[in-house]
Amino acid sequence: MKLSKYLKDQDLMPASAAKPPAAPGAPAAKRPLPDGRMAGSPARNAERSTAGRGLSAMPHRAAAASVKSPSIGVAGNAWRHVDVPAPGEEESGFDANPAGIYEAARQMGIPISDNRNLVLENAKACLGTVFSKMLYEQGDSSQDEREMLWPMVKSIAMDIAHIVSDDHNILLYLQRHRVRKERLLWHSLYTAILAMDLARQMKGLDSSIQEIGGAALLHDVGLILHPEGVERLDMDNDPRYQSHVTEGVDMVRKIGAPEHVVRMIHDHHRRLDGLGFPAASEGEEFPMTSQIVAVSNVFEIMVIELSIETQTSKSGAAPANDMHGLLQQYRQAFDDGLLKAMISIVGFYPVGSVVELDNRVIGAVIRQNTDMPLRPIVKVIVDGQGNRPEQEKILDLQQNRLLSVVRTLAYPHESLSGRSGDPAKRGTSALEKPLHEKRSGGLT
Amino acid sequence: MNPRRKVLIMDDDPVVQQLLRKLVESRGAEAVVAANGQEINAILVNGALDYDLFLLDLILPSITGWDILQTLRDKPQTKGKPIIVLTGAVLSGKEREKMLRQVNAVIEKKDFTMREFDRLLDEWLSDAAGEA
Repeated sequence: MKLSKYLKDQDLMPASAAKPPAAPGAPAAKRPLPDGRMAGSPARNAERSTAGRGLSAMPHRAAAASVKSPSIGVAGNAWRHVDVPAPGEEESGFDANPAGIYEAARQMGIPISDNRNLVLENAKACLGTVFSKMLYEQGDSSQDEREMLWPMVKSIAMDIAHIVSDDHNILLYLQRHRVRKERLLWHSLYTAILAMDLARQMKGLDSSIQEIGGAALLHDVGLILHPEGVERLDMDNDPRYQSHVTEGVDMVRKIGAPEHVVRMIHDHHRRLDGLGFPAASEGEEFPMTSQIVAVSNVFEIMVIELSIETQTSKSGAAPANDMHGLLQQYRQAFDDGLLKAMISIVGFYPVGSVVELDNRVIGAVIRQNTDMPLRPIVKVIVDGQGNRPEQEKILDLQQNRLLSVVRTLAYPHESLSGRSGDPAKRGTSALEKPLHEKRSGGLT
Repeated sequence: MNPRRKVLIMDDDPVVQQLLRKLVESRGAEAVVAANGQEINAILVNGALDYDLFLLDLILPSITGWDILQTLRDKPQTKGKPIIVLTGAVLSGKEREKMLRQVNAVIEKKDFTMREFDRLLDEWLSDAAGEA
């Protein structure tokens, strides 16, 4: 079953994807933020439309019904060079929710450079310091020092909140884990970024975005009590792994975090269907804020951290789309609206995924089209005849409606989501490097 | 403004560094910037500590604002000098109150305005403040 049909049947299609396609040349409809404001500042909207103008400025040959499925042999319609702005060149998401200090900098003529990676590196270092202090907080640290830790965590959350971009190309800006022993830190940071972006889309939450971000930063803090490392623990059956939840709750309580934050940490492995741990008592609520942290934890591991090994059935048929599998696995675990929102953030085909199009072209997803998550921008790796293109070829599936993704071959791999802003450096080794093994068992 | 006034800016964000440096220098004071724990330690341990005001981001790589506060309070040359903390967090009333027991002023980056920052510089970097 095609993913799009599955999502429609299951009513998981994000509202933005259900909108009818805009007429050619019509400006993209603006999407209101949950509080009613329009997404992005006028400057940012102008910026986005600049990118749009870059696309439509190319000679566009109307996709007449008489044109057959494009292949490499058909010039014009199949291939157009598209000026896709590299992520490093675009202004950051700061101006979507400008902090006062950045407004002041702008007024002083200070360029707001894209320092996302620097912010992430610094946040990682700071979080590591906080973890160390929490690990030893029962030792020599004073009451005052312990009480400073929660404000510090909130500060880290707010610093990385600027990474949350309303164009949902988050995965463009996330680094791969370069050092294995830092995996917990990166996982915590990325979970927090996802959770805060989700929180911005949900209404009526009883915690602030910085509290949700702070809870996400600390959700796995209990694991630091197990220096042997997460990967050696049997996640599904080892009580030492499961104990990290209650251990984390104790640690976070001791630094004075509010009880609703402690609750999010307590719940981060729970599910709506009652599976997961700790076991829920009958009628116990699974608050939306807890679900936000829990679903972000799951998606961070399954989509960002892991690459899923391509598998083929015995008949040699194409493997099922793994986002499909992920949604089937967690359909009963989280609120539908939350899953829809998560899909709209991460994309049906997350940045870095290797996909096959219906003209047999294989490409790497390099950017999402925010209003059409099923139609990303793809860089060609192999053409329909199995050849690598001599020149860089970019396909914007939002512009080229004759093409569609038929399946995902591989999920984001280290080589596909590097920091380089140059699309040419992405995706070229996707089919050369071995994929990571899928982690066994379900995540709850 | 006495041009001899010297301000140490401890912040890892290049945008904030530039902004604070510009604002401090526009008042005729000298601004020195340290971006991380190593640079700060180099100044606090080996450098001259003739600063009149410390601007401190609560979160820095490899060192926390708390550690820096401890050091500033322990050293005779810096003890008693005014400290303004910058934080990206939105603080509760209680958190702000606790922090103000340790420092002279707290700026939340979200609510930063140049007017308010100017007022703080007036308060803590004036000749009167320097002689206090």
